[in-house]
Amino acid sequence: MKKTVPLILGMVFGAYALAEFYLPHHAVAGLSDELRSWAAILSAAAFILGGLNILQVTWPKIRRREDDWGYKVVLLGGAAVMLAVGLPWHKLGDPPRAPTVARTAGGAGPGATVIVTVPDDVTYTVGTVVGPGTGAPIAIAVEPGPVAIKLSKRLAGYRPLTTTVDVAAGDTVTVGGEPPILWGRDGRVFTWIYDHVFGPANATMFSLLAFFVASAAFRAFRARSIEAALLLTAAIIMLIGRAPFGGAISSVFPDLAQWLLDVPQNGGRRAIMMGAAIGAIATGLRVIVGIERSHLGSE
Amino acid sequence: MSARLVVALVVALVGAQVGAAAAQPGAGSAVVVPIDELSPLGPPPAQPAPPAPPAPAPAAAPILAGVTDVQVVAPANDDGRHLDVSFTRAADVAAEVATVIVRRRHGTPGAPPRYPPLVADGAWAPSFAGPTPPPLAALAAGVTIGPWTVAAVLVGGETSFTDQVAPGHDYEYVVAEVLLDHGVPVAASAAEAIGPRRPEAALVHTGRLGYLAIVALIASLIAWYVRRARTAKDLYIRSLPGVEAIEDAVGRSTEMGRPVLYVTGLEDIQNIQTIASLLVLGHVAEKTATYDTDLTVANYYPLTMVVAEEVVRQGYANAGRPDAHRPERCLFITAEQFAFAAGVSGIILRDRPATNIYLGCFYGESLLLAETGFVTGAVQIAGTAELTQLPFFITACDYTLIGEELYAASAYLTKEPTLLANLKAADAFKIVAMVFIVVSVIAATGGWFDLGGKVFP
Repeated sequence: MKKTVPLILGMVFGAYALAEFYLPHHAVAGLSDELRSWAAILSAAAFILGGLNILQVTWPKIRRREDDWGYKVVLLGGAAVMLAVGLPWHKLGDPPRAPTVARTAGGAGPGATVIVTVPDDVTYTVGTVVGPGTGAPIAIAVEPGPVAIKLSKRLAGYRPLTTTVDVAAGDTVTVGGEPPILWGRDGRVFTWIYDHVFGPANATMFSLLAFFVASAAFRAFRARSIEAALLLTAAIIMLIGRAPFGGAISSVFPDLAQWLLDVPQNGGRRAIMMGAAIGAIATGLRVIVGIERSHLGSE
Repeated sequence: MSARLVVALVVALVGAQVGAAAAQPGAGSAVVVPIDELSPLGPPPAQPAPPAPPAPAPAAAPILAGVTDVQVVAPANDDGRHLDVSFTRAADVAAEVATVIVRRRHGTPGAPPRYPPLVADGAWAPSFAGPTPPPLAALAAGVTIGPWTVAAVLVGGETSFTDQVAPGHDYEYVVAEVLLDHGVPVAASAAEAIGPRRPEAALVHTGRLGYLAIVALIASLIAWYVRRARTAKDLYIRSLPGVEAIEDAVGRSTEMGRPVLYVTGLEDIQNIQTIASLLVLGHVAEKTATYDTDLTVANYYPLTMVVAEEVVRQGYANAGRPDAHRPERCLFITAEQFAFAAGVSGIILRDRPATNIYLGCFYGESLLLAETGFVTGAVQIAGTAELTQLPFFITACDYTLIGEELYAASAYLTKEPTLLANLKAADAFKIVAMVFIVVSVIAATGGWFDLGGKVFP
């Protein structure tokens, strides 16, 4: 029973997933969407387990002051900070959504004026006029009628203030305000940490790849066997053929490099792809039909 | 030529044709309508011909001639949510003329083949508009005009469109040419109507039967070899050195008193490479449990971690040592690629595992992991079907399972005849595929027939 139920479930859903590819009917697609939603819910719930796992693994190491326990503190601290700033705290309060607007009627002239007073890190949009704030009042002439006004920070993570003011001829409208900070995934702090801490750290790891490629290539290109010698020869031809000076020496090098890519490399690549595809089909089938049961354990 | 000039020219040209169109209503499809002269439902009234333009080009006459030969059909192998609309435009339609396709549900059989123009007198024609029509400038796909919905506004000269509709309903379509002035319709041709048409859901995707044949053939071969394996005494399987090295590597870890590190790749549980990796993990866990060696499993996704933990638990149970299982050694690292690489590299450098096994789907971090493992002197066994990462693994690891070998590893480790039969079936199918390729190449090169194109349309 312990094995049978998971086996039957695996067979049913596996067979359905296989059949779905050949059944274009919308009813099938609807059921598939439903199953995918379940999978997404499961996947999201698993992230909670993942967080608990991190806590379960790192906290005892911190408590026992094991080697490099300081890194664990950074890990948990970083996770706690990102969790804290990733929550949409701004929804708890009622931050402004529109700028402050004061209207003075009765001026002369056919037009109207909008006076914007915003800090220098705020960009104002009055009708079709866009400009940076200076901290001082800025007068903008507008036509009578509805005028769309928007105040936004040039940095990400703030909520723009928007409103539409119906101005009459001779009106003077004074506009002010500062876009409030947002929290959560699109919030200022989250975005700042992502851009200024995670992004550079990620790029650093990626850039290390260049050095690892160099050291790995150095090892691989030592001609200690016939296969390694072939690899070395192909690599040299590719290096010369792809570098500008290769073509300057002789057009044979670029042509030879291209031939290596198009013929031997492509042939081998396709062979691996086809083998992998056949292996994937065979693996899928043996799991679906229940031949492969090692993941279910013994009775 | 500016758009306004074009509008003026078209209105003038259209006006010249109204008289003829009124005299012969329904003759031909060139009922052209200036916005000021349209009648909502009936044929346009006869008007005195305006003065001819200075130099009317003969080809400019059918600018708002409307479309012809409108067809609405359900696409082949469809899921029942689409209808293909196609039509023919006049040869010399101005660039400012767009084709507007509108539809409504429950078209009436026998509906008139042609409606009055969509736009009349600077507004939507009453037969389309309904009580609260949107402004003309709102013309865009998805906008509702009375009972009609704009399916598409084709501005690039397209003559076909695949419309997405709700299944199980009849739809009536109207297609018309509309002259746009800065996106605002100012004149329209007569509207060609067609319908009702109902989308049709195919039961089987006939274009994919070739792939189904492959699966069926492999399944048949598996069944045949499984039956044969039950009677045959021994089933020869080519050796897989990378798989055979797993037991030796675990033994080495035991001798050195250092753990085994297992990385399940960077894809989620539904990826077949991850599944293959988890199948092998069960065997590795059984081996480490038998040898009483620590096993650390690093996972990219939490769901993979949950399954991996269960697989390891089962492996320890299979070895008769469920008490030795330590769930905290199945780690969720992170779901960010290079943060994962940094985390696993940290484990490699701190714990110094004697064996690193990387099986599953890997990307750019593969060399970071393998080179770090190389620095620590660990025995490294890798396997992936990702072509771009194979050279990195081959360079930096002691053994590499290439493509299909990753999928074969689990069956190879069990040595069970039924599972080995699966490998035999895959090998047999490769022979079939090779024969197919050779025959197809010869046939196509000789110009006799395109076998590949027929099987995989």
